Amino acid sequence: MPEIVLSLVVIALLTPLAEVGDSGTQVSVGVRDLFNRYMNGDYELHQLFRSIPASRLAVELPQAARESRPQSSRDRQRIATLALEAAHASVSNGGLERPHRARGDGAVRPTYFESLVAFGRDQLGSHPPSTPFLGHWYHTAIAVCETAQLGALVEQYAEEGLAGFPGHARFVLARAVAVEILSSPYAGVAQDSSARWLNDGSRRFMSAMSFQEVQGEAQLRLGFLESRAGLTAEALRHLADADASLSDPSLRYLARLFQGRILTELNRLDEAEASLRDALQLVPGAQSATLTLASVRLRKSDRAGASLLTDALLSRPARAPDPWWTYWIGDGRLWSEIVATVRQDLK
Amino acid sequence: VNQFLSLLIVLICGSFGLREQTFRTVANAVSVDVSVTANKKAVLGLAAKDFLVLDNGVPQTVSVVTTDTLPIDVTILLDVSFSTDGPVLAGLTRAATDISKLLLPRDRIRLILVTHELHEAFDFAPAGMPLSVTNVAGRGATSLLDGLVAGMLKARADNRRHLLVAITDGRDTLSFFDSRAAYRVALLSDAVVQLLLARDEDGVPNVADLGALARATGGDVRTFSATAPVVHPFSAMLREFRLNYVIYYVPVGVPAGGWHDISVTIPGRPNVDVRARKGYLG
Repeated sequence: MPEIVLSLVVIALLTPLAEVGDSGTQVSVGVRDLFNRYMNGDYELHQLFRSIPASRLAVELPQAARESRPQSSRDRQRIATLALEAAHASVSNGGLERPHRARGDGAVRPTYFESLVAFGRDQLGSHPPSTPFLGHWYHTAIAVCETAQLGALVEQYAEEGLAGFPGHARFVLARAVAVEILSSPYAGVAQDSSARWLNDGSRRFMSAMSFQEVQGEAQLRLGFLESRAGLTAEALRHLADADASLSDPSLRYLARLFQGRILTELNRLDEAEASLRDALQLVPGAQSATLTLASVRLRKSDRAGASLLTDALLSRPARAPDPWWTYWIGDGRLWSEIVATVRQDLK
Repeated sequence: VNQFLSLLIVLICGSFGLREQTFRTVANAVSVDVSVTANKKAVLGLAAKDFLVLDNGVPQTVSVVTTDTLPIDVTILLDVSFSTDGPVLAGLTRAATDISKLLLPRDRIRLILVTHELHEAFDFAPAGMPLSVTNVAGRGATSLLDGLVAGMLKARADNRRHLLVAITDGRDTLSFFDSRAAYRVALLSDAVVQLLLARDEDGVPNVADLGALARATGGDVRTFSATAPVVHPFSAMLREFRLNYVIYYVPVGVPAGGWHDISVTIPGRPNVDVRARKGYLG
């Protein structure tokens, strides 16, 4: 008998303490700790975010927020921002999965990610004033949805953001990036819809090009979109324009990389090689330009040269992050800066 | 194209009793891996006279060597991205070690790990050595097509065959090369690409034309259950690969440069399935 009691005590000690919320949802110690620390301005929560599955975050975070009974608009802003940070963390933690459906239940449930972002938006009310915080919150929401590659949500928040902040250059650009994401090679877009996304995307990028702040990036992305549609002359023109106007080395790398690929397809191999070598001057050892350059050498019948380039790439223990890896996530590549800005507003 | 020239000289001299000197001036020898099957079983015993090889439509004189005589360099392309995490990845990493044991001592094995980043775990090493692919965590996105391109760009060593085996769930999320660009590299590669696709309940490959890419090199696609050991389909594939023919010819009647279409048929055996690379760059 004493052994049984002892076992129960051990189990109780080892089981995370949980509380039962108003609606019956239990808030685990981990989520409670996460919530309290964030509300107190502690943002170093990487490990904690990683340790909690998205399924729990999506259910328990709203419950923890309800139980905290937020009084001030600043509290609600904190919760709205926490929801976005949780959604961002959840992308690699099961956030893009949907809750299991009950047998016979035909309803399509939002993913855990979508639930978290929607919960965050709900905290701001139906007609929030166009404060700097709100602008930064929408930028954060767009970046997190771009990271999750959810084009429809990017479009939704870009449109909402533009309603409150007409002429916000990055929101105008995000509206175009949404089309890119929706038509990405990984989105399973049917060929017969390609004309529509090309038209929509071109129109939106042209609109973004009228804003000095994002002109170069819009030209770059328009050029890439055109190259995917086989409009090589237009693509090369826009990519050259982008190359001339951009200052960010990562974006200039991409402009030269894309030009290199198009020139390779056009069998203008010397020009392609020059463009790719220029790209590698900007980001030495980057994977995408190195492989494309090696393929150019192969097409020039330099099999040994192609092999050497590839061998060097594969055996290099540490190499520069390839700007291509963050191309599709739009402003998601700027996540650290964007989230730091919105946190500043919460002080 | 010239990589098999020295072998060609030795083999032709050996097979036909010709003097080595006769062939020393021969240039531009072309070698082609050819799989010949009927009802999915290798067709054995074919000779040079059985093959009809057209180079840009012009018939060529062929010498045939069965490939049992040639060592194989096997490149394993292992998808260790986030999408394979869990039982699939555990199976794949076990498989790499098992595969090494199936090779002959004269063969070599190389391992490339694929996430969004490509990394060579080790360059060609003698077969049978223990592979250190334990503790690989499924992480990151997948650059499957980029990985295939990297594998295909490796130049074949003299007097060896190059087999590139990609073990993957077939889902690509971040390659810079698209299917069309990767296919163009496949046309120029001297590796034979075999794809072993792990199928699980979560989905199907999202890359179009993976089969076309493999077949452009003379290879093919096989699927297996993600929960079953990949070593079995690999073993079957390797056995067939060893039974392939390698045919050689020195092109005549065609200009040397540019792209050459290759057509390989066996006129006397209309019901067999012949698989070979589509051509070469002269």
